[in-house]
Amino acid sequence: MHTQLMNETFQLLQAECSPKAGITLDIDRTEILDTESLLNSYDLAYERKVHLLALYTILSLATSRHKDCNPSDPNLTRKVLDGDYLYSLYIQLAVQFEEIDLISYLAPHIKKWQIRGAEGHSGVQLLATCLEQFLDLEFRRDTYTTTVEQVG
Amino acid sequence: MQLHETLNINLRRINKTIEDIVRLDRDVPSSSVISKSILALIRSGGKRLRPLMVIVGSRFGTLPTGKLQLQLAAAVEFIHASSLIHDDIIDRSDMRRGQSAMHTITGVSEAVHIGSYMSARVIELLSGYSSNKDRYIHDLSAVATAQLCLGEYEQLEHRYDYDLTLEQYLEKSRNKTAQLMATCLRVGALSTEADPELADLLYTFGEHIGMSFQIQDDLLDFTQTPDILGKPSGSDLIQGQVTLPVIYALQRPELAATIRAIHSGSTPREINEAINIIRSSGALQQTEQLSHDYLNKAQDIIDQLSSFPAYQDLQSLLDYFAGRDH
Repeated sequence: MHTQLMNETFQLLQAECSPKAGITLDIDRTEILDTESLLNSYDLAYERKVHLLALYTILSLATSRHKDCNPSDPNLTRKVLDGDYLYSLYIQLAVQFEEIDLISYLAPHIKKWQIRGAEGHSGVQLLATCLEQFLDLEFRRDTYTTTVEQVG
Repeated sequence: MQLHETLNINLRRINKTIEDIVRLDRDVPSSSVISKSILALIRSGGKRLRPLMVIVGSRFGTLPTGKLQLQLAAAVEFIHASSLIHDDIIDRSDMRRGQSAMHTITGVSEAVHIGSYMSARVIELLSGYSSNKDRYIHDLSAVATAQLCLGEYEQLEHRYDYDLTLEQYLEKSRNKTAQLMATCLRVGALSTEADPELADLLYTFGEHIGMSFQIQDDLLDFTQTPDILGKPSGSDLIQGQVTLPVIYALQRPELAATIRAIHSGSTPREINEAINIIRSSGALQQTEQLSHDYLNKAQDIIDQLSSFPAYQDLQSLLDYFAGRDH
């Protein structure tokens, strides 16, 4: 099933992803639908939902490309390059969408995934969980700010 | 005198800051493979050209060069080192700076993650600069890195492609090498609040010397001995990289057939023959000329900036790039 949000996210990604990279956006739609539900559970502007879903999708793809890189894999070169390109595209788009706080929040998590990968462990904390924690934090902060302003 | 001495930059301090990026990471024990592998790579050499360019760029601003510039200089070397780890995996290269490449020691999957850890660690450190005026800082970890990948994609797409045009070659070189160098100067300048137009001019200067650097690198593959290169002469050709000397030699119809016959299964004798005809074709002189053309364009920019005290540092950079022989 394709929702409007999903379609617009994919259009955005196709426009932003350089044709030189030739990356196929082979995305697990169930995972994206779950993330879309998560985003819909918060009071977010539609455009921001598109941005966040796009960033989530790029990060998810980047992580999967760098997973299990094996020297005998004929696609090794592409996997390494795709992962690198997608990680840098994530930062580029996050800056463009003014989601610097998201970069700051996710940075230590992404770093720890890499540490675990380098140590030979495969399990990483779900990206969706990190996104949910980020949005919870943001909403708690916004609520607090609003309350302080009203009391003040 | 070494470049950092000419520029009056404390390289030891830069090196310590680079090492501190991993040493001060509480998530990485000092005894871990990650820490040991990264420190070994960093200590294995490297001219630190990119950090020096950040510091030189910063000398064109209105604020003094300080801790932030040192951190940015260290960050850019970390990004560069991270790209070297992934490059060696992509190129199936087992040696780096005369030593075993990281993936041959840790395993490929682990090395991929160590390289990505380095990028992620830099983003973690730089994400502290979150205000709108600091957006330029992310150019290091986003724009320049994305361009680097695009350069690699282009290189990959054109392996053994003897129809590669000069324009395509220049575009690949710009993405793969020149833009990161250009970004170093620009980010350094903006970090000390240089005028944005001045920062853009420094970017263009960096792009020109970066192009010259890559062209020289391609030239050295044909002119230097394996001992100096740390790899066999003509390695680029062996790996299917159609570099500038090859493009120029291909313009000679009587040579084209021998060069075009080189493929992944060519024998050392066939490769040597191709290398020798490229060497004697005049293509190396044409290549050298284009490298000089870029340096001349860079020189024009230095002349425009002669009212800034730091313009002499640009001259030192240019002189270094012009005299580079290995």
